[in-house]
Amino acid sequence: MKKLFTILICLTLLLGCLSPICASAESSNYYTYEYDVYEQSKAAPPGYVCIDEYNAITLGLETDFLQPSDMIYKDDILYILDSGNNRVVAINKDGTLNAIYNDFTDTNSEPIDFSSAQGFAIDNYGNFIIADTAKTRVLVFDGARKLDFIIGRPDKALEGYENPFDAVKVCVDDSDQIYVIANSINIGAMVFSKNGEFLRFYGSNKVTATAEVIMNHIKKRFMTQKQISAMKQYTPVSFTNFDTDDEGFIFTVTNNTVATSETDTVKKLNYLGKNILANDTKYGDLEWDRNTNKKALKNNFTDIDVDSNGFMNLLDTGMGKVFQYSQENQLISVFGVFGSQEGTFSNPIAIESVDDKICVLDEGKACITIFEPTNYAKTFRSAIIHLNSGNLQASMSDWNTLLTSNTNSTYAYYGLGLVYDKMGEYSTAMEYFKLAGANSDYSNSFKQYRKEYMTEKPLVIVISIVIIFAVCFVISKWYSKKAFVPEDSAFCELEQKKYFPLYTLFHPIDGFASFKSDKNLPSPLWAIIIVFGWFLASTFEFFYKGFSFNSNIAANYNLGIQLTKTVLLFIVFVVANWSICTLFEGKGNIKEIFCVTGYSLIPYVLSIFISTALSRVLTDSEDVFVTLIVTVGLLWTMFILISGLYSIHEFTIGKLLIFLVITVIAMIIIVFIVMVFYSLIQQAISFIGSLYFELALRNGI
Amino acid sequence: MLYFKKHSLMFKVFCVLCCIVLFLSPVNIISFADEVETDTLEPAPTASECVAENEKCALYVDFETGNFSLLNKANGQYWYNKPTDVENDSYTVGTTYTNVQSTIVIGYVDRATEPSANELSYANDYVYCPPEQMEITKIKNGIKIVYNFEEFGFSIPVNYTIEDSYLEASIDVKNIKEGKKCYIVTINLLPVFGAGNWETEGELFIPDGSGAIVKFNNGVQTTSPYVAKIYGEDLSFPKKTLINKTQPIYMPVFATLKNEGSLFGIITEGDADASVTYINGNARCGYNAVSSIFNYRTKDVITMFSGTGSSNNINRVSRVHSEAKKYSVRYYATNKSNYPDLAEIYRNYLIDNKKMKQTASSVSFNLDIYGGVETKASFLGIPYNKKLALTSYSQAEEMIKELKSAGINELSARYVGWNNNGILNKKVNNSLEPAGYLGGKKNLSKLIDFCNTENVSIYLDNDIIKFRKNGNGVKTSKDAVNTIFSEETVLYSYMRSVYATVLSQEDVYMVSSSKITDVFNKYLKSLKKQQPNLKTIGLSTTGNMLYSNPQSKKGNLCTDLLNKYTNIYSSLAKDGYSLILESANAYAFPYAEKLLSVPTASSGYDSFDVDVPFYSMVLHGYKDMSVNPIMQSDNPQKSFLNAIEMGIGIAYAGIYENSSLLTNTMYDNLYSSSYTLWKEKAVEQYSQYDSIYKKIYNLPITEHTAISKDVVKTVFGNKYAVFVNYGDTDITVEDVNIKSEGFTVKEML
Repeated sequence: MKKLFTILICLTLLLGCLSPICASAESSNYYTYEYDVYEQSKAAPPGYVCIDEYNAITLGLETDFLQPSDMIYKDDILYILDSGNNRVVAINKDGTLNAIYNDFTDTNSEPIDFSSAQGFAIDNYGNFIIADTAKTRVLVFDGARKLDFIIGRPDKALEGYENPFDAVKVCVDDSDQIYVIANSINIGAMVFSKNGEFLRFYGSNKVTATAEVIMNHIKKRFMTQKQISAMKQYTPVSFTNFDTDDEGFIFTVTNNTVATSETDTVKKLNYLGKNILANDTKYGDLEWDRNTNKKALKNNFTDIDVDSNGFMNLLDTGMGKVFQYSQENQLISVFGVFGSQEGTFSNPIAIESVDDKICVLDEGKACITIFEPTNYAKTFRSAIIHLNSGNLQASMSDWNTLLTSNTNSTYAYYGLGLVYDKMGEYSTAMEYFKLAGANSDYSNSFKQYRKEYMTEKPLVIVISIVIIFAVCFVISKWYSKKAFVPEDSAFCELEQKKYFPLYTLFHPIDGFASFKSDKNLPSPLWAIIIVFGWFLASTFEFFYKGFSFNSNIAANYNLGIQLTKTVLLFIVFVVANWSICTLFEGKGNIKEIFCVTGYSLIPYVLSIFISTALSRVLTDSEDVFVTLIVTVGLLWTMFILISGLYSIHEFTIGKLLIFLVITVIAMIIIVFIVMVFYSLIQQAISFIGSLYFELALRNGI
Repeated sequence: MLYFKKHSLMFKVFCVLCCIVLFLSPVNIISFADEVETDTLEPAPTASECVAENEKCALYVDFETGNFSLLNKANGQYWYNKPTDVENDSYTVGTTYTNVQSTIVIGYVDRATEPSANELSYANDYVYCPPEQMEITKIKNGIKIVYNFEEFGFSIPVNYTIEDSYLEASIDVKNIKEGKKCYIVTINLLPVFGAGNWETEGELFIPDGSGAIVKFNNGVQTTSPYVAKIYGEDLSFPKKTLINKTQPIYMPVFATLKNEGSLFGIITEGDADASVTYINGNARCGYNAVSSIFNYRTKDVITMFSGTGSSNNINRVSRVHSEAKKYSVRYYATNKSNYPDLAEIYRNYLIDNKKMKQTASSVSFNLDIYGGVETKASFLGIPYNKKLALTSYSQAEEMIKELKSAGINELSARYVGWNNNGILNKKVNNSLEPAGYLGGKKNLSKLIDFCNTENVSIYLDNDIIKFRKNGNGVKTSKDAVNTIFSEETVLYSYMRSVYATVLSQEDVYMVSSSKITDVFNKYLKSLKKQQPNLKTIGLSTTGNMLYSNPQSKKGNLCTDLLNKYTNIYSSLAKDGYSLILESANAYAFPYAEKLLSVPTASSGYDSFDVDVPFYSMVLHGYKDMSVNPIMQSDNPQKSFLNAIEMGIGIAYAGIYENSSLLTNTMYDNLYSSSYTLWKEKAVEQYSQYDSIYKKIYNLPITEHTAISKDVVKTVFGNKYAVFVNYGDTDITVEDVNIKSEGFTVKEML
């Protein structure tokens, strides 16, 4: 019956060719995007569009694909492991059928069953290697599809392990070694010789020492054996899949729903099994559905393909997408979606590139979906290829073409930055890196630019240094004049109310002690000005910190957050300190605490201004200076604060330290109470809202 | 049965008379039938009586079963209300099995279990309304059948009449009796009318996007059936996620094509509340048929979360039902089985019944100008929406001037976002309010005068639907559209990466149909007052946004808004305005003069075999059309070729400023719209295409054939054949040489 049906279908198709139709509609039935500097998705022209789908009908197969599970492209032929039908289907590049291999036999020439096989490879002599997962074996066939030998569990190497040899993926390198991934064996891929002898393990993933892992390690010391075995195991995860490139490197991909570290997702392993890819890249989507509070990424990479130009295609079975990256980990294109339209996926399981096209094997749709790069992706790829081969002019023109197709493309800006940097036009490169939000690349270009600038205009540097020194000199001169204690007086000019914060900068203990003798001396106005200065400094830092250090988005400036970080923090500290000082019999009153805390901030505020200014002439390798200045400022502030509190509360040092700890706790309590109160009100409001809504629903308003 | 008792004598007499008529005039029928291979045709209905007939068709009714058939006299082909060979069907299983033996399928919700009714329940006449429950009466030109579903208390009167060459099936919506037990939600009328069985050769025409073809028995099984609302999904049912990119249905038509002839359906009334569905032959279904569904009510669901985090779905059926008085579908029986001919039937219908006029002009270049947009900015740390000028009025003038001097002699322009309320209206835009930051009233008038003297039609596009803030006489609480759950409907925007709604976006509301005429009238008044010489207008959003307001007893479904739209359009026509619309639905065809961004493809569902550019077939030669803006399409060159294939205008979206300004605005998808980026390309395309366009712009498409995978031939008015080659290699067909990614025109003798 099924046969009849197929014939009927073929007949209708034949007849169909005669009726008027539209030419192959190339379209992308998915929304395409790129990530911008802020890791937000932005509309972008499609990189790949679906041009065809090969299925049993277009290939002229009598039986549909049944649980096809792997796909290989070798010597211009695409091989599909059609496990359910115990066969391998070979397809030519143009989408015509090349051959059907369904005559696999064992050594006794009996048909062999590998209907649950999940992996498949063809070695350099054209022999088929099939990972027969459920039967925990790897079958190696000779050219006539007769079983040559079976690779079983390398028991000797796996002594002490009980895990089965459930081989899921196989691949062969240029030196004929066979690599096998088994789901349950996580100490790396197993490497076998071409005769099936076990050689070694290869490149496992590692458990990263997260806080949770370390905590569990400590916990285990206090647990019984039973408890330990019930605990979640933090064992390294085995690779999900791999591919070899033309140079013999092995690329692995690890399913990132189980990967213990993001850097495990994609690896390029050398012969020793060491990852040589830059490992600071986040693969997959950078955003998540913010309607659900949890950061849940749904990408799930299960296959990797490296094309002849070294671009990596990752198949995401979690969201039904393909991500293409360059080896510099630049995202070139994202395409595909789950759906029932042309170019959408049902259950994609394998990916291969055929020349510049990308083929995805879809088990659910029982077809191979073919994608072709658009001019946009072609330009993008050629820009990167040219850049890597040092053809800067060609690369520049490609990037500019890319920009005409998509003026929003951050990647094009970044690429142009790299081109100009390599050409030695550092200030132009800096402009582009700034547009691309590439802080560290900006910093590198800036370093070169600074070097050039210093050699070209040494005079400017000298003059600036002279000016800075002059300013410092004038200030210190003024300060020492004011700090001079005349012989006819016990006080210097600085000890007047209007200069007092400056006096306490260097004389906190005796300075603040005189608050006790002169009730009029503390000036809340000064304190307010300084706190406001703190707020200004933090705003100044937000906007004007050198781009090498600054990843803030101007539009994201939030007045509330800046005020909370400065003014509110100050108020909470003062209130907490005041409210508990009576418990400790502290002598300070609110006015004194307010002024001490305010005055003490001067060094910190100044350090923020200075470090921000300095960050504009430093590169990110010199960030230690920036940090140093802020740290000095902060320590100074702490010193003034502690001495001031010591003076006004008249504590012993030991008591003061305890008092400070309690102050911090009190601050936390205050914040906590405010939060509880806030959330209570919020819940009450939402309760009333939903009550109204439900009533409205029931009454059918 | 009731009928026979009452009228048995009359019936007998009529039978005899009919037989005599038939007997006396067999020549007509048989001689036509003889011309076609009779053995491929289905047999004449037995036990049927001819109740109505004219020179083109006849209606036969079996009063005992309520079955009927339509005879196309031109070729002697019968179209049955349901298949006559169900007993031989070895494929169909499940609920489809009884549905393929039905004339009407009702989707309903039991009132008692309404909140938990996640799915509709279905009742068909085969199971629940056997012939003894039908009341069949003769009426003028046909019959009336009242389907009484006694178990549910439904009663649905349907008239079947013939006229000209069509059968009109018409649900008398006013007289639907629903009973107390259930809500009727959907009515699938004639689900298998003219169905093809597992052996028939033929295809179904689905109006998805530009049009799509489903070959009979293509074997594709889909997890859920295709059901798509005509004129796009109702926007009052906001979705929380947007995953797939699909095309809506633009035209209320569908067809079943067999080798001998076709059955072409046009929904003539109630189309705003209708959907299209089909079944196709596969391992679980033996028949192929396309049909329409009337959405008498609508249904929505919300998810309520409890304090513990568990969630609960609450379903609700709209209390209001469709305002359509009748739900009418015309089924034209024709012996033509090609799409240009079917398109002609629809075009003639529009001309005869909707007074569509030929307004095609020879202008092949359409320019979309974007005025201003809002972006998030902060002043001293306080965030606000900043208005960003993309093209000021004088810059628009300059742009047009430059394009003209570069060689684009004739063009028409649509200006979007020129008004003070921005592109995404802040307040509803009910007056002509030139924006100060774009140059103010003086410059706008200057631009309009310039266009008048240069003979460029400039359409100031105004959105009378969307608004974000109360004002201009529109209040969110009173005038915004609500969902069934009485919440204001929000138009979301979605994250392209993870499909979820964008949270940081200001809520956008829609003006309800009771207010929209008021908004429009005010706008028109101010337009007339301020720019009396401007006789062009753009109301793009009305062409493609159709929504109901299902919240309460005062609400309405989509038909009401559609009627408001057509009133607006006809009042514009009366005042002599030329109207421009974008991605416009069929209800606007008779009124619009220019249609931008017409569909060029379908959604490409797996069960579709090929696309057919039916939209342009219907309108070509009658209306000006253009493709999507070329620079923003998947492949600019292919988009240009698409325009040539369909013989429609080309379109560019342009701004004067650098388009990198658009980052982080709602127009970030207008990447590469700076006109300097595409000017040269556009001029080149214009010079290649304009001379051809001038020849074909007023001719209908008479043939459209895919010669090979990459080459398409379109014939305009039987005079000019245009060959388009989408492939990478040069090709020669029919003695015509076509360059790769190029085209050639051949004048036919």
